[in-house]
Amino acid sequence: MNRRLFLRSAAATLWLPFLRSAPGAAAEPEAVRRTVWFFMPNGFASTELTPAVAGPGYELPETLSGLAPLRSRVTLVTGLDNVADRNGQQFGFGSHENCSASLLTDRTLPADYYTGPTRLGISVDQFAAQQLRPPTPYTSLQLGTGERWINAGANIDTYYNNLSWANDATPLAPLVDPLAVFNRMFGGSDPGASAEEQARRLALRKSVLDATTERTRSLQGRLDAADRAKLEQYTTAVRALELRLEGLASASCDAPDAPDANLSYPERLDAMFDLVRVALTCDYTRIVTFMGATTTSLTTFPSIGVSTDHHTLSHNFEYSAPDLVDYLRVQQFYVDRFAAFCQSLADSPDDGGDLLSNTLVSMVSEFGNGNYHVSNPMMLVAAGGEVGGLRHGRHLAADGAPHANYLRATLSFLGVDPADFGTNATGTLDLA
Amino acid sequence: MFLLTLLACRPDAGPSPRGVPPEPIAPGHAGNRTLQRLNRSQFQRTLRDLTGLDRDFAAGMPPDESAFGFDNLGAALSLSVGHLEAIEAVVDELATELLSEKDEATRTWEVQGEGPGVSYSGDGTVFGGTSYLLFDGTLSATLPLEGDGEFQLVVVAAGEEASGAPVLEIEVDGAVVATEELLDRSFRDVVVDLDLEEGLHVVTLRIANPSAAGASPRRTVGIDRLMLTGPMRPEVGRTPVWRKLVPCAPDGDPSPACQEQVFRDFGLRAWRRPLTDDDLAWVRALADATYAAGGTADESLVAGLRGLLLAPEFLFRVEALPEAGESERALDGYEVGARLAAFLWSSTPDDELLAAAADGSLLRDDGLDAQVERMLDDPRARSLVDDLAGQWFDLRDVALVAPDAVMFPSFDEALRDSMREELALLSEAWLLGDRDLRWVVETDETWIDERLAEHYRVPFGAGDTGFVPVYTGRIGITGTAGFLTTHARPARASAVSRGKWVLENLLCDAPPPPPPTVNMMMNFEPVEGSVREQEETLRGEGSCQACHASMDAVGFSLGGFDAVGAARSTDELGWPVDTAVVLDGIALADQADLAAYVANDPRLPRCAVEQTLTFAVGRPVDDADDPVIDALTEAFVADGSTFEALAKVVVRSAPFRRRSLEERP
Repeated sequence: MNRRLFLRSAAATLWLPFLRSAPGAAAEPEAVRRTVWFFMPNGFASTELTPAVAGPGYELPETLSGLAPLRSRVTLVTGLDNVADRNGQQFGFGSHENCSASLLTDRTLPADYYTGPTRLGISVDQFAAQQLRPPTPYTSLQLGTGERWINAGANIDTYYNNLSWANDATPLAPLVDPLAVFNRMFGGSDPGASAEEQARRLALRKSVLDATTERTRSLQGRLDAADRAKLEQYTTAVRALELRLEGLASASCDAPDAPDANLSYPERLDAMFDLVRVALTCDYTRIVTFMGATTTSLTTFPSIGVSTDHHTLSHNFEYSAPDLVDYLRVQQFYVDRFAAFCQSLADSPDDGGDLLSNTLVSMVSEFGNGNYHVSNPMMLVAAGGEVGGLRHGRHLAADGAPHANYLRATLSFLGVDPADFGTNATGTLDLA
Repeated sequence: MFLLTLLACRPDAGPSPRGVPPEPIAPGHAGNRTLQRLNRSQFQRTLRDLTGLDRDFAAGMPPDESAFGFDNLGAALSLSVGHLEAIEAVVDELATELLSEKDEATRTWEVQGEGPGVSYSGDGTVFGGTSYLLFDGTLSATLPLEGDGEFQLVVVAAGEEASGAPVLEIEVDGAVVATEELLDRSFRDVVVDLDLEEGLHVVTLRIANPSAAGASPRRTVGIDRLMLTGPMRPEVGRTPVWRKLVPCAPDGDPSPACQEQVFRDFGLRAWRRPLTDDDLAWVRALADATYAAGGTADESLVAGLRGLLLAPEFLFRVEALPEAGESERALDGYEVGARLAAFLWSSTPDDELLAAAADGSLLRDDGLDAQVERMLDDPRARSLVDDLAGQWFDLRDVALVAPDAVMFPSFDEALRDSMREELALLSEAWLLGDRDLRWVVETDETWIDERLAEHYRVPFGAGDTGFVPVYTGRIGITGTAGFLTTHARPARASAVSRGKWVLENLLCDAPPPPPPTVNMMMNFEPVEGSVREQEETLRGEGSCQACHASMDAVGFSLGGFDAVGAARSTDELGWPVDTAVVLDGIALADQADLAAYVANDPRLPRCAVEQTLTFAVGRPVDDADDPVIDALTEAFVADGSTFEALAKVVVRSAPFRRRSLEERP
């Protein structure tokens, strides 16, 4: 399907609250809109980083100085409250898993989550993907870098290691190897084969996948509800894969250089960011969630001289001045990479401007204070998406608005009705 | 009664594996495991065993979800499109390989003097077709090899000595493959056998022991030429995987009967049970549709194999529900066989296990015992080291630690590998040997290599190479650098992490997580004193202390080792380390005392049962399993606490052999 045609359909244009009416705009093709989530673990130090002044005249803290060249295209949103973080709300100090699990889902972990079944709820990126069903090979992409949090005594690892959930029982594990991601996007086809031969092979692959759905029908009667839920995941995956194979086969995008196999952590982040840019440029996907690392990340940063692990810094910073310096330097490290990514989108031409103007890029973290494990107040950086009427170059003090209101704003930007998303939203945060 | 009826109906047939209750019925709570997806390790090993190809099939798969310390729990594992995409790509690649034909020939790539693909750097010269390397001079040749497998590299070289003969170092793709001392000026062949894949490869030659810069005379290496010949066993015609999977038509073009035979044989191994007529009709329909769409006989056969590998019956271990009205059922022989193969090999049943499933012997204790013994002797049981010990004893985590490079300059990749290998050998001695469980905890001798001996500051035999048993003064697993480093922060030892691991993984008795009403770091004011004193102050006398008492005691007893497991007498702040603790009223002086305490603790064998049962069945254990775990522990200890004894009691147990109809979340 032609992507421009698609966005003109009534369902998709119903929710474009920020769209400016410009004379002659009807003749222009509607730009494709995208969202990218970038997650930095272990919190923003919001008390250190919240500027005193709201609005355009705010002073950009040193930690965020990497955003300076993009200042006019970035909004610093502070004072959000992630209401779904049960413990933070109840006790004033919470936990890693409560905050990371609720970050994109706006769902509170059930009271028995520690040893109970894996249960959460659909995340905002997947809500958008399921509503939009973009005609791209990848309905959405989940990326990570590989570190995982393992807890031997409980069923909680999933809440640490995933941000995206397709439904209340299906976490979407991020792909963590840049080379594997590259191979997936560009390695599937045989450039030596003729178009007919390629089409024939694709038809064969799809027909086999099609046929497997018959198997699930014959299995149903032998399984109980929990088994059937797993089988349902399989059926959903089969359908998604058929679309993906079809999409990749009809895509014509030049492959960039393949990433190296053995990369240091900073190199791995950069390689993934570059693959995100490529995937957006090629219209392989319009919705990306990239976990820079898992919550509780124990990464050290020898390249910037930080030898205490990130998690320790996120606790010590409140009573150790040197650790505060290092904690902020780690945040600066992530912000710099995020800024470089945004710049790379700004440097990529796209319909009606550049890729950044058509993409709402959010840099989020699970805490506003890593020591207390709380997500109130929390902050984030929103960049790009000017096509949706987003107004930048300012510090937006949200004054305790639910974080879910921001999640909803990203849905509105995409043209998705946000009313059915989230359990704690009181409205849609106005980014215009 | 049922058994008699069945035998009476089919007097000449053996008992059918389906519907026959095992004798004697394993007592106790069976429980219910959710449909279990093949995890990365199982997918990798299953594909390896099905195809005979040893490669990383799981490389593109997203990480597996884990819970309760293991990544094979049915309820926790999910299947997303990312997983299926990776799996389908592997299947597609395999299908391509099945259909491809090779046309390799042995040939020689020769390099002499200068030419395409040859480059020089550093000091040296080419004269009269001979390349002379001096000091840091290197010759690099980039060769576009065709075909895979064994190649032979011949370097025709001579040397000129200067205070010692030059040593020629030969590198392929950045790795040193040979060093050769060149004692005189007459040219001779230096021969190296290599295992290479098709594509570009770089051969680099240099002097390993160059003379000091500017020295004269200086060591010189002369290269007349180098020749790379191969593949030594060129492949022609069908690929090995085709010949393995389609033995009835090794050169292609299978008849309908051959095709059906392949589907039956491959289906049996991939789905871990015989295909029913309906199953077979489904596979055949896939093949027929491909044929009808203009495919060849080969392609239609491969289409059927694709279907078998993408079907839910392959990707999940399917176990039937109890019959209507029943609350529980005994797994049939094939289901038990599939569980055995997953438990002991992280793979799929082999022919012998399938035969034992078919003849009903897997439903009997003696049949199970025989298979456990056989399977533990098989090289495939190495999976237990990677997957069971890998997660229970944290071998896998050794790959992830990143000690601070400034504080621990001695830590490098070689030390990491040695740490992991020591843990692997320790685990293997119990899992695949005849040691008892206590030995893992209290042995005063482990296998270490020279690198670890240096790290441990213990003597290493002058003539010894590789890993040899050494008395290190460290006792059992809690004294290994692998464990101590895995449970530390990059720049400091962590008493809590170490203590929690010992209680959680060896005694299965960790305190609960801190309640949400406790903020660990609130109002922390550093006090003057050692790290231990600071932590004790932080815990105070209140509610924290209740849970931290045992964790901290274990952790402090291990305080004599730093964040990379090296012995130390002062902590990170320079204060003397105090390892004396009181744990449950027992005074422990140091790590050795702790090891003895754990080894004698009755919770240790019970914990081994709990961990192994969780891993073997693929579901978390809960309070309802307590009677079974108690009974298994007693039997395991009575049988000598070997892993073989443990595996035998586990596979005989109700949770392993039976499935109940139990409401699960």
